Amino acid sequence: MKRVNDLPSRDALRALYPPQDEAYMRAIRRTLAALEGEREASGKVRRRIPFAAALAAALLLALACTAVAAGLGIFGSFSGEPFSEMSATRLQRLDAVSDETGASVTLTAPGEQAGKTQPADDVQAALARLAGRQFTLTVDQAYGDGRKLYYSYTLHTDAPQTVFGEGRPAGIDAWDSFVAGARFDEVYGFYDAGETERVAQWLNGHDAAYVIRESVSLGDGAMMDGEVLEVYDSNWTWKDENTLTGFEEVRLPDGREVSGEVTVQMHILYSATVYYQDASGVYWKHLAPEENRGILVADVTLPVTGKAAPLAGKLETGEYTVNASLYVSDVDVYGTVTVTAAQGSVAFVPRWDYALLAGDEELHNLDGAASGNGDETYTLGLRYDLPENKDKLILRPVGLEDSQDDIELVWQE
Amino acid sequence: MTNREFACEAEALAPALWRIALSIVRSEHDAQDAIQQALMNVWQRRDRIDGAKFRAYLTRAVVNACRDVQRARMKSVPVETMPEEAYEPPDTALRDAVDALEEGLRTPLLLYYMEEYSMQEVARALSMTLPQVKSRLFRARRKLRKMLTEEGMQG
Repeated sequence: MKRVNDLPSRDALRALYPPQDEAYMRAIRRTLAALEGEREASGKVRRRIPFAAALAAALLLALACTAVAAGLGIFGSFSGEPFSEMSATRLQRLDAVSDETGASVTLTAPGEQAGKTQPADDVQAALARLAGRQFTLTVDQAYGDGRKLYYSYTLHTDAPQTVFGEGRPAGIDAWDSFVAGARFDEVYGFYDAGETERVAQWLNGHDAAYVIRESVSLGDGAMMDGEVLEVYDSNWTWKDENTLTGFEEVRLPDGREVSGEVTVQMHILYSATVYYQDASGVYWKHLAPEENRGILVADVTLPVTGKAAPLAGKLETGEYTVNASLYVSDVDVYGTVTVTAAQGSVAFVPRWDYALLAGDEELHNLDGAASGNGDETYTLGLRYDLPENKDKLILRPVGLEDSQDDIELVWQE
Repeated sequence: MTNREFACEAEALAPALWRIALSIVRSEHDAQDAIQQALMNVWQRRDRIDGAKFRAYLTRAVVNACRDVQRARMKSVPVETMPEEAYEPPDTALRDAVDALEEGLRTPLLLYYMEEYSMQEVARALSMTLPQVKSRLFRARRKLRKMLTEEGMQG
């Protein structure tokens, strides 16, 4: 323990805060277990519905109702969600600038459907239930600035089925995940808390039992000309038990720009998940058809009506150089700063976050993702809400009180 | 860093993160939300994390998530409607003095003295330089001592 002399002890300081209770530790373990083993069979981790949302539930419901009443589109409808503060302004702007496309694609899952032949086991029966399933993907709104694409969507399918069984399911040789000594609801949770409870009740009501649950989602990101368009922001919700609605923001690979319109491939993910519980613990297995691994590819054409205007700035000190490259679109300001050490390793160069100064506004960095290229460079992601005044834009390191480390940004076109 | 290492280290850090988050957001519900949000954010970048810097990295994410929660809370629920936490610490004078420190001084102080982070870790966790950390700790100590002395004289 550090010697403090004139300060209260470590324990006196710790006693200022209520000790963490078991419910908190259980919640942390559940989150970690979910991150480790479970992605809700949809390929993406659902943003947790915050516990504190209960406190603000009435207000949020009112906000949601107001959003609908105000005619917000799908983008804007997510701006009232808890923890959407980083995206809220951008989502509302997207509602205003995006095109309503309404383009739809209907796809059918391949495979031999249930009822035609007798399935050999529970796994084959589950896969047969997935065969022939129809999915309709509609892109409701879209906006592109040439370097990024945003789209909101509605994904509709036949009602997913949930099968409840006793004993150990037949046909599973190896499980994808096993948590010893755990109960289902200590490890897993669905978007619908009532569904979690229903499954837990069934499993806890038997010495050994299983549940096979079907799911569908839109895969994160998209593909364009064989290249991956990585997803940078997304959210979704169930509109009803058959219909998923959400949005995604994807960025084109470095150096790529598009205009007019662009065709991308989106991926509909469908699968079944087996949850099995007995006295030893809880087991999990993902099931998808062999022929397509539970992935259907939908070609979708999106309009690109915006254009991102480039900005750049540079700061050189005796120790290091900072190069800033940003773009201003109709919805936000984004880019990177890249730091290079004058000599030696960049690891010894101070690493700042940057605020964007625009007139009287000081905007907080909404990105902050850091990456490095060995000892040579360090890159920080930047993203800011769109300022009102874009005449003079300056990046200022957070925590520095004077302006000697400011980076003045200059329009490139 | 492997998934298992991430889970083990994050769980071991959970009590410290709880105290730090509480010192910023002052609500158990918000603290839990911020920590879970931070875990998810850091998880997505786990393949880029140097295990030796994990504590500082996760702490930074929690501090950032707490600030996000604060901003969201300011937008969604008026502060005066937030329920008071029931916990009463044994030393309320010390609590009042620590609470009275601005966050820029309080968080470095608590990370260093309460959670026993190294100065380098505090610097990493709060995106500061070492001289900045030293300066903040000096100012925090001086301010806290002054407040506690005044409190003692008044009490």
